[in-house]
Amino acid sequence: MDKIYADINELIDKLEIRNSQTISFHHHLREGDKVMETVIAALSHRGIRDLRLCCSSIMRCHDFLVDYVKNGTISRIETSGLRGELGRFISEGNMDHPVIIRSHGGRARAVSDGERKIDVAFIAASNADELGNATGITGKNAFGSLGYGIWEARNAEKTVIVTDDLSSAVLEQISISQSETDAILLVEQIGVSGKIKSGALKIKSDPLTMRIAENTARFLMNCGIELNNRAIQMGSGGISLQTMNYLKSHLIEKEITFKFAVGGITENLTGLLEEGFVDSLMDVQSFDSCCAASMATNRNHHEVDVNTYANPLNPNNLVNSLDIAILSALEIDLDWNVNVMTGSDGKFMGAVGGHQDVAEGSDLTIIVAPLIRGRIPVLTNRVNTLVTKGKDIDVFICEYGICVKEENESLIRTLSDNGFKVHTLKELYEKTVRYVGSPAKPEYADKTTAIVQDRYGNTLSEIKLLLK
Amino acid sequence: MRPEKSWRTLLYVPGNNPSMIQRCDVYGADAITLDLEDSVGPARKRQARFLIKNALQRLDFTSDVMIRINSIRTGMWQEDLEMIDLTKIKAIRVPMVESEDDIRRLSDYLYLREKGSGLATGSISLLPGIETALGYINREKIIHSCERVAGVGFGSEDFITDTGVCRENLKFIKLELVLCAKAYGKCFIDNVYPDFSDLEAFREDCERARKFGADGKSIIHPSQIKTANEVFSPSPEEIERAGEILAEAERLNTGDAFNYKGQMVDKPIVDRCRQILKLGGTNG
Repeated sequence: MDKIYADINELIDKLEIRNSQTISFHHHLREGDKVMETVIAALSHRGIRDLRLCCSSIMRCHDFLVDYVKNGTISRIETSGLRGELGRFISEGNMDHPVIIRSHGGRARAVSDGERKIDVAFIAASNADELGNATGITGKNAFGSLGYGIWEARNAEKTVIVTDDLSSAVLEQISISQSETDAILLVEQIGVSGKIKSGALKIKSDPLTMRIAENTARFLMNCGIELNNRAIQMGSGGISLQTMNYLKSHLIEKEITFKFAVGGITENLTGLLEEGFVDSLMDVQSFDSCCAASMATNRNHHEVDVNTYANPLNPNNLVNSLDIAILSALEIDLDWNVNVMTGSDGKFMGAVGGHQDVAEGSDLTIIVAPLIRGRIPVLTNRVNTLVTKGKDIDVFICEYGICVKEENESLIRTLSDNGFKVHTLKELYEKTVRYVGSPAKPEYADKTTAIVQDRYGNTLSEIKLLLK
Repeated sequence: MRPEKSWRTLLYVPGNNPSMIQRCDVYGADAITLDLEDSVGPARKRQARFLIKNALQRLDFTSDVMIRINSIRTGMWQEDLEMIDLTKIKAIRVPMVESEDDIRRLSDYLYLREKGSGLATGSISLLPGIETALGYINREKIIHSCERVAGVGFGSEDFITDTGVCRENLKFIKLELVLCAKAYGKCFIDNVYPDFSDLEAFREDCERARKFGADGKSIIHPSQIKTANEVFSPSPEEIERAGEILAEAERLNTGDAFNYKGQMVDKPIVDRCRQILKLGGTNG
């Protein structure tokens, strides 16, 4: 088959990859990814320069990118998240062009509405066949959903499937069709299997997490919202995961089944599917190794692409159907704005992910976080980086209790009637000041190191060069 | 005699750990014990006193706050209490008490401090800890030494060290302490269970303690609080039954014994039902 390449240099020649083009990768392999480094090393070795790197997100295993920015191979980066050494490198102003940060839905819009043309998409797949069909559900390094890759393949000028497991037989499950595939690159290993397969999320069970989870579960049980047949996004944080554990006995007693759960799918959620607490899982990204097996065997565990998940220009997207969303935060301010990108010290340490998409789409958006992390207040007078607008947030739950937007009088009344004390943000903020004071805000220079867009491509915040 | 005051859960928090002190009140313990004794090394006692002083000024506590001072015999107890705002605490836990004189000395000191703070005299309670053979021998004198004594605790590890009595035989010691406490209307607080990762074993330990009459448990980790609160509270079924019996007693209004669903109910049972409802009202 003339689509199959074992030598990346042949592939580079065939695709005529040139300077200044845009290449893309997904982050389904999470901290185990080897594909990005393999490809970029080869491109750099060939002297290709000034590339725009447009990924669904960047993990700590991608810290090698610092070297390729320094040598000019990569000159622009677009991503959902920044962390680790690369995050530090960028916050110190070492890139000439600001990094563009988008939500998953915002990126789905950008690659399809013309804002960002992808010249070559390199899509890791744990299994491909000789015709060019590909999936993440089967293969020796199966990772589950190819939600970001599927949309990439449909929109990129050229699509390269990168795999370490090529089948001669046609795949039983096809995520990306052969029609979308221009080439298949065979590599020794798409990733470090231990890190692909290891639970991306460890369910935390420390007392603080449990307390907030218990408060969240009690809120859901007493907020007056009918939970049966609702669509829910749980988020991937420890608090969200433990909340479901607290809810279980209530779900059983009231015979509640969620219509579907969407977003990043965890082992916890596959368990809920098996136990009948949720009818369907809509998987745009799999966070645990068991998800691949679940998708392979359970007809109600669906793979969805990111356009279906959260593209704001897609009126039928899933986030618009959400009833309840539970999301985390690095910071929340008195106007209910949320920061999930930078710490209180201004350094990159997170990702937008689907935060903006889910918050805007969901009928009820709940932020769960400790009021104070260590000695750093999560609730602040003004977030360092605006990522999700306050208008899309409804409730904040911490270890001290529940806080509802004052204009939601009906919800406040229902909770009060059920014996809950409902706090205001101002009251909790005064508590944080009393407990830990007001930390000094980071100081910035004029240079913009990153731009956070909203879902529609508008600039929401500019992250400036951090002064030491 | 049922104790006037008791707590189901008393969470120890090292006095030199600001993060733990800041958070300790959210977990639902009936009482927080800010510790200046065993969990704080000698070099950090002073730091811990400042931290506790500031914590009492700045933090909001919904649980009762107690301080565990250093043993009377160490001579540090006065320094421990000097900078504490007594208006912010409910009780003092006194470790290694061996005679009624320990309690009286502390009580006299508190009397003067209460007067100086505008507190009603006697408002700060004491919870002595029996942790040695001599303390055990003098248990009745200690428990009955003054009105401030609200109850008594037991320190199993120090007791084992002092006496060589093996763990399996501590139940006899504890039962004696329970009887002594209850004879004078005081509570008994059972010792800590150090393995906080094994909640099943902890529940069994709490249930054993409840069965020999303990009113509550000293706690070393927030994960233990929910279990201990459940065990030391009447169950919903017990509360419901107690309510029904009291309602029937009130309906009959004779004070005579009566038949309730095949059980003879007389005054002791009616009194116990009242206690259950009172305890049930404090259910977290």
